[in-house]
Amino acid sequence: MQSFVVTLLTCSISMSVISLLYVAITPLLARRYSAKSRYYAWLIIVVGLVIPFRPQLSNSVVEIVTTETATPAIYVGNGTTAINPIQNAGFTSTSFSVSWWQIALIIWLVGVVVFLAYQAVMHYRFIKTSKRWSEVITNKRDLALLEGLKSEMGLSNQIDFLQCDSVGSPMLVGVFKPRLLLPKGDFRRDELYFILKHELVHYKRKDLWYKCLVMAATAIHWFNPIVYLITRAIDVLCEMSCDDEVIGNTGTDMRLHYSEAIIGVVKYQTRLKTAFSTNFYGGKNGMKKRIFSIMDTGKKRVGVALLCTVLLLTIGVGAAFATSSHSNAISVDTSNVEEIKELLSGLDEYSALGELNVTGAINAGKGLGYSMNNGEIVCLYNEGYSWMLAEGQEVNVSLEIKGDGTQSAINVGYICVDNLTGEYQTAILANSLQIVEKYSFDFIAPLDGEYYFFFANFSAGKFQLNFFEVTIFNSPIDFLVAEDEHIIPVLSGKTYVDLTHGGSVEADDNNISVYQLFTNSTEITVSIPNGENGSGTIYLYAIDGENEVNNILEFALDSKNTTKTFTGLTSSRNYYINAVGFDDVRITVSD
Amino acid sequence: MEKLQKLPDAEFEVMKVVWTNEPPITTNLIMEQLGNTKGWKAQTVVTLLLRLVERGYLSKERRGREGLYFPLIGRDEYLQFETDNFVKQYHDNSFLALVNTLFKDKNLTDKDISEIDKLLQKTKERRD
Repeated sequence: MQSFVVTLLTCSISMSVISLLYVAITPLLARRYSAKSRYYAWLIIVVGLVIPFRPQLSNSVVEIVTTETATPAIYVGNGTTAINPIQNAGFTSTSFSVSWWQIALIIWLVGVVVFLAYQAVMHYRFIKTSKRWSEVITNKRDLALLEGLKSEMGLSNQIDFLQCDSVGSPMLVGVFKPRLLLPKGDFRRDELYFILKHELVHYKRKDLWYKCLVMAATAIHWFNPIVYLITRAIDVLCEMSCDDEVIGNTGTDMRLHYSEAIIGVVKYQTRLKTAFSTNFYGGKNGMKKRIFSIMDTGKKRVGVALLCTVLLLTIGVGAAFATSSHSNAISVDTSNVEEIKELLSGLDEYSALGELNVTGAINAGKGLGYSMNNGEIVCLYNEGYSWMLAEGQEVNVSLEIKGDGTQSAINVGYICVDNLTGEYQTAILANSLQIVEKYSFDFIAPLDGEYYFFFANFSAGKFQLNFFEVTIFNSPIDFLVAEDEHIIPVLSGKTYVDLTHGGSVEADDNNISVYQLFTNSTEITVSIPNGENGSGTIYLYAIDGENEVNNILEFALDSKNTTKTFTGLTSSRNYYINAVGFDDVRITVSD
Repeated sequence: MEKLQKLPDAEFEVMKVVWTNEPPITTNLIMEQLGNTKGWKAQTVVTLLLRLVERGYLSKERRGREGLYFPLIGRDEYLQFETDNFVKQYHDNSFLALVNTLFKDKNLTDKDISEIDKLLQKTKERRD
C-alpha cells in the first residue's frame, strides 16, 4: 500500500507539471489548434489522473536516489523488554509508530469520500429542486424544433424536454436519462434553435460522461489545488468547442446570430434576477472571450500532433517518475565502490578471483527486485549507512532471492570494521545459495563496529534480490558494573539502540534506560523536546577494554534546562547513555 | 416575518395550486385540483393548509363554516428563495456540476452585458 501512496503522489505531481505546462502554452496553442483538439487533449490528462499506474520501464529515464530522511522514532520499553525493539534495523523508519503513508492513506480516503458525498448531496438537491419547478413542454412549435434538430443530428434517443423555472440557463442534465431544461422565458424561434442545438451537441458528444471522469479525477486528487484549475480550464474549453460545433463552417451571419442568441438569453435571465449580481470572477471576460471565439472564422487545425504529444507526455513522464520511485526501494550507489573493493579484497575466498567486479552499494529496503548479473558483487546499506553492531549481539539476516535455476554460487556475507582499531574481519554466511527463495541466517557480532553485508554472484545466470532484512537482538551491555555510586548500580538487560544518525528514545523510568550510541563526531547533544515534561539525569560514558567505565559525564535535564551538549568526545567509538529518573520522557540524541 | 423554510413536497404541491388560482383558496378547491388525484382525504388537505399557515405561507380567514386561505408568499418570491439557496450554490460556481449549461448564469451584471452588447454591435457595423 505504501507504493500505492507513492504512485498516487507521483501521478498527482507529474500530471500537475504537465497540466501547468499545457495551461502555460495555451495562448500559443489557441492560435493554431481548434478548441476541440485542445478539449480532448485534456481528456488524456484526465484519464492519466484517474489511472495513476503507468507501464514500468526497465531502465528509469530519471534516476532519483532518495534515502528516507525521516528520523526514526524508537520507543524503548523499560529494562525488561526481552527482544530489542530494533527488529528491523533495515527499516527503522517504518518499524514502530504508524508510518506516514498509513496516515496519508487514511486522510486521502476520507477526503475522497467527503468530496464525493458533498458532490452527490449538492447534485441531488439540485435535481430535486429542478424537478419541482419543471413542466413538460407541450408547445408544438418547440417540440417540432427539437425533433427536427434531433433527426438532423442523427439522434434518436428519447430526450425529455422541460421548462424549469428554477434554472437560470438552458441546460442538459442526466447522464443516463437526458433531460433538457429550458428556463422561464419566451424565446424567439431562432434563439431556441441555437439553444437546443448547443445542448444537443453536448449530448451527442457525451460531455456529461467526460464531466463524470473529471469529477472522478478531482475526487482522487482532491488534495491537489491544480486539479481545480484543470477542471475550470476544461469547462471553458467544453463550451468553446461546443460553440464551434454548433456554428460549424458557417459564415459571419450565423455566428452573429448565435452570439446574439446567447447574449439574449443571458440578458433575459439577468433581468429576471434583479437583486442578485455577484460579479463572479471571469464572468464578463469569459463571456467576451467566448464571443470572440465564436466570431473567429479563422481555420484551426485538428491537433493530431497536439494529442499525441500530450499522450506521450502523460504516459512517458508518468512512467519515468514511476520507475524512479520504484528504483527508490533498492538503489545503486556507486560512490562507495572503491571502499567496498578494498574491503572485499581482504577476503580470502575472493582474492583468488583476481579483479573484483564490484558494481555498487545498494540500499537495503523492501526490494522490488534488484537484478544481479553474474560476476557482480553488491554491498547492502541500511538507508545509506552501514549497520552499527556491538560485540555479542545476535543478528538475524533474512533475504529472498529469485533465480532461474542455473544459480550455484551465490554468496552472502558480511565485513565488519572495528570501531577502535579500524581493522576488519570478513565472514561468509552462505556459500552456494540455490534458487530456494527465502533464507535466514543467524550470527553473533564478533566485534564492536561497522557492518556491511554483501552479495556476490559467481554463478552463470542472473538472479533477483527481492528482499533483505537485518534484525538485531539482545543487548550487549548487561555486563556493565558501576564503579562509582553516581553511576547506575547494575545495568542489566538494557536496550541497544543505534543512534549513530540521531533519533530519539523514550526514557520511561523509575528505572534506568541505557542506550548505546556510536558517534562520528566529537559532540553529542541530548535534549528533551519542547512540550515534554520531566526531569532526570543523563550520564554519558565510554567503555574501554575489559568493561572499564570511564569518561563519565553527567548532566541534569529538566523543563528549564532542556538540552545539553557533551563535547570533547573521541570520534568513532561507542558511548553509552543512561537516562535516570525520567518519567516517560522522549529524549533526542544527535551527533 | 420569519425566515423562509424549504417546503416539503406535499406542502409544495398545495402551494402550486394556491399560486395558480385566484385567492381566496378553499379546501374544496385544493381537493378538486390536487387532493383527488393524489388520493388525499379532506382532513389531510386541511392539515397541510394549516401547516402552511403556521409556516407563514398562507393566512386564514373564517367565513361561516368555510375557511378561506390567502397566499402570503408569492410564487416568484419562493422560487427566488429556493434557487438562491439550492441551485445557485451548486452549478454557478462549480465547474464540476454534472450539467451542461448554455452559460454560467448570474455571473454577469447589467453593465457587463451592455458592454458585450456594444462589442457585438461593433462587429456588426464593421461588417456592414
